[in-house]
Amino acid sequence: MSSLDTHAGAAPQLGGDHHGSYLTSKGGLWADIANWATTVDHKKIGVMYLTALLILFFLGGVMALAVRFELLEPTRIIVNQAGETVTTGQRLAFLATDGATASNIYNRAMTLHGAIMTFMFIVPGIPASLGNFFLPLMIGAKDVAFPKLNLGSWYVYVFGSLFALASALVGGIDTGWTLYTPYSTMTDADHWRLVAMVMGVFIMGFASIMTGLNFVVTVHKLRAPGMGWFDMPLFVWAIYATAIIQVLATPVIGITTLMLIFERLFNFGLFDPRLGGDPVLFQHFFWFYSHPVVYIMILPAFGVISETITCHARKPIFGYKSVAFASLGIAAVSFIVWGHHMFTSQGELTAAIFSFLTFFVAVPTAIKVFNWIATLYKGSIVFNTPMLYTLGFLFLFTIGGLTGLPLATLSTDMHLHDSYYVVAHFHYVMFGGTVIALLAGMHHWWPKMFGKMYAERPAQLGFWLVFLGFNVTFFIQFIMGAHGMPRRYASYPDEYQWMHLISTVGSWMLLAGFLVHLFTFIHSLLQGKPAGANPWGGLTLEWHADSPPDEHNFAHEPIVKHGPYDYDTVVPPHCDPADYPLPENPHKH
Amino acid sequence: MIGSLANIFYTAASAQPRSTSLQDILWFGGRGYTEAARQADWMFLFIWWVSVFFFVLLMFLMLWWSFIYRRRKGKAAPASPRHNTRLEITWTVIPTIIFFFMFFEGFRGYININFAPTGAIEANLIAFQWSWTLEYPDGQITTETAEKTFGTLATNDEEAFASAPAPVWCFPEGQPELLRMTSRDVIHSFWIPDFRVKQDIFPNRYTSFTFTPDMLDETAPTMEDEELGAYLYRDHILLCAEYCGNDHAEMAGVIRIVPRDIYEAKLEIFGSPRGTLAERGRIVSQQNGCFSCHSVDGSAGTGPTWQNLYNNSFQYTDGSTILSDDNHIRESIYIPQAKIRAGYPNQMVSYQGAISTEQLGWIIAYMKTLSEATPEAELAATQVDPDAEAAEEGAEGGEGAAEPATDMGGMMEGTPGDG
Repeated sequence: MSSLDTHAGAAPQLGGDHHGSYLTSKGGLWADIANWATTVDHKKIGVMYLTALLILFFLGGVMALAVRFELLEPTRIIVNQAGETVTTGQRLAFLATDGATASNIYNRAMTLHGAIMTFMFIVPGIPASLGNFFLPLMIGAKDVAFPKLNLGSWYVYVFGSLFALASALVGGIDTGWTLYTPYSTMTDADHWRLVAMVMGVFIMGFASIMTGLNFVVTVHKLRAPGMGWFDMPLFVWAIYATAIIQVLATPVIGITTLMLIFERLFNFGLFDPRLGGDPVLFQHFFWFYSHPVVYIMILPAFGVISETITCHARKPIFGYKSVAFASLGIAAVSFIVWGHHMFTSQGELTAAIFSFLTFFVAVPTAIKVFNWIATLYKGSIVFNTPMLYTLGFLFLFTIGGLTGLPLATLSTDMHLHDSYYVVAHFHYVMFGGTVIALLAGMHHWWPKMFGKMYAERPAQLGFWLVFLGFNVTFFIQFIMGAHGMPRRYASYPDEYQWMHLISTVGSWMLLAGFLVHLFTFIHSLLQGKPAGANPWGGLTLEWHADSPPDEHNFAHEPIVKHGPYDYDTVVPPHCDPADYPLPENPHKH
Repeated sequence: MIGSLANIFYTAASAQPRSTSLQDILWFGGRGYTEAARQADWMFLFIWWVSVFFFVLLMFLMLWWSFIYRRRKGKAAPASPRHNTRLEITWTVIPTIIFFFMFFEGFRGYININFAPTGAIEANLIAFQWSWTLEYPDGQITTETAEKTFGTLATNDEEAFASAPAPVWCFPEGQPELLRMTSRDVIHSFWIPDFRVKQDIFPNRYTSFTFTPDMLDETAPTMEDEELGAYLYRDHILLCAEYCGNDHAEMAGVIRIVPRDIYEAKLEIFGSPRGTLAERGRIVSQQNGCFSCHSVDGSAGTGPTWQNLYNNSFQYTDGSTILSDDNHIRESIYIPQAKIRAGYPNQMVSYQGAISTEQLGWIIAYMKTLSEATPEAELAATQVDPDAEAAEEGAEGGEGAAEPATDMGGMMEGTPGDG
């Protein structure tokens, strides 16, 4: 019943002249390692990216747990009953050596958490892992346009990460991930620790540019016959919009980090006021990249959600074109709103202009949420882990988006800026948005990537722990911030302790949730049941391929004869029509 | 037109500016203490309730549809439209109008926050790692400090105090104030949560901060003061909100709102520092922020403690052992990078030009009172009546030197006019 011209039915996994899946061993451990290390297969590169990303996510997570652990109670210098002066509450003090104070240890943990999570995990994140794996599959291509460039980007990314990790290993930096001057050019931290970290960011930028360039060309040139622009899955639209930002914005952080290194090593005097420089200039450069980069982080998540919500609700997406154009609109406006990070450090007119422009980003974002929720209307909704994560995304991202409004509004931002309110908002968008969507996508596509199912019930337990743990950790931080708790404080007044306590307990729930997921993924790889080519009844092209896909994705080049979301007119490939009945009078589109 | 609509809402909201509603307590821990703060709070709560409305609506639809349209085996989902232009235009236009209103109102409030009314008291503020000094219009500098800046630190019957005393700055009630701010080193940010405003402070330019605190009302506590008598006051915490290094979290202060006559009386006191050389030294140290890194009670800090520093010998990073005598202390303040005490970072900036020769002498006199190893003490140990002798010898700097060196809690207390 598949309307695609691919091999019929389930492909034989063994024997015959079949290539075998991309995971098939080449015989021997060393041969496999050599094969993976030199592969130009986008699927292997996607899996390699995913592995590297998860390792860095773990490291960034450890830093986050350290930060929350330190904040369990404030620093108190007290005279105890024996009359001794003692300092309590400095839980990271045991790491302090070499005359460093406990707050300095906290500052470094806070910086490394931010730097690892943004530059090394969430920016490459979904495009480099799921994007690499599924973008060619979804447009019916054999590979990306430049497979060697793709492998190169992975090595550049790993090389850059090693620079940053080497810096962390010898003590790390304490500038905050934003690296604001003049603190980052004056701080007493070892020159080379800072230079290595910034160099790592500089190098990783090239990986981002390479990936972006590759995806733009791939989408333009390698779509399967019959796939027009508006037949592309929305994940492809989202990755395409992301790739444009990657290519255009990343050079700015490259040049900014280079200037920072020159400033630090050769006293260029661009940013250092003692040499006639302007520290605010650095903020402009930094946010000119780092605001668009927020959309590099979130747009792919939007793409994932558009896929999971349609597949697991068996519904055409509501308003395909407005979702697609909203992605492009967000990408375009993202370049002219950087100033909203600097409302407290610039003139009144500039602030007014940036506030006004910022509200324009809110409109397409709101439209997307409306479209997703409208997609649920009259669907056939199944509550498996990918769908739970999708609904979780809608819940958390809606909070993240709405709590951004008081930050875009000038009079209220004067109070909330640089407080825990911002920390909470940022995490609701980045964690509640991107990480939750990554988890939705990982569960949705796991059977396709590895040909094995994960255990549904433990995975759902993992979802509830992550979802509840996240809210416990971060919701209280909105209130904390509005009450006057500044961010990046190693200690704090007593009145905030109960809120910090709740937040820290939440971080432990999150840890438990991620450990459950780690278990279900490993369990699936070792003992998972075979997934079959199309366990969810998906319609996009990757579900036409085998699970795991062949080395060359499709036995024959697919010819596209239906839209990506025609769930009301087409029985999914490899599926029994009895399991996926169609309505009698579908709306014509 | 939209603005006037907001005016009606806002006028209703501010009719009783003294009341603290439940939502104020939930969101802010209490009401704002300036007109601009209450306007910002109104704006925040307006956005909050609009957000709550849309959030509840969207989540209700999401959960309700997820429930009633859950998958039933073998049953097709009913056909439904793939788009609806009229609906999509509606849900584009409505948020756009609401957002435009938010922008406009936020901008109006921002203008109120940022422009000082005429007749403001203009003071200069200098921020540095990790404290600040404020000069009143006639050059006075506060001598008051708060032992702890906020909250209640006492726990489990134990006496508790914060590591660095924070400056207390008095301002008259109901009077517009304008701070002209700059930084000595990195970027800081000046935030008074009770006033709902913050402003970054830069090393290469001036920025300004303005506020008009409410009049003191019956909720204000009373300060008992030996010199000035009893008066009403109200404390507002201020914090550094831009990350500035190691002790960023210690960079605090107190804005104390007092009646106008008390403010003027205090300025007179600040303007004529009295007391012993050692006491003056303590004040100068406080005003220059020395205590944000150096403790006087032996507790750890970014720099070495001053307790038992004077006339004792210490190990330095170059391996030498140096006696902390007058000349070494002078060098450490004017050329701090010359010799670094082992185990401490090379963090301190030079105070050449910031601390005059005269003031340096006061600081050394103060350090002497903190050390048991002073030459006077050694001499006194050989005398018959050491206590009385020490007091007399210390009288070089006045009777303040007789105060027991360990009783620093008393010296740092925020008693007004203790200069």
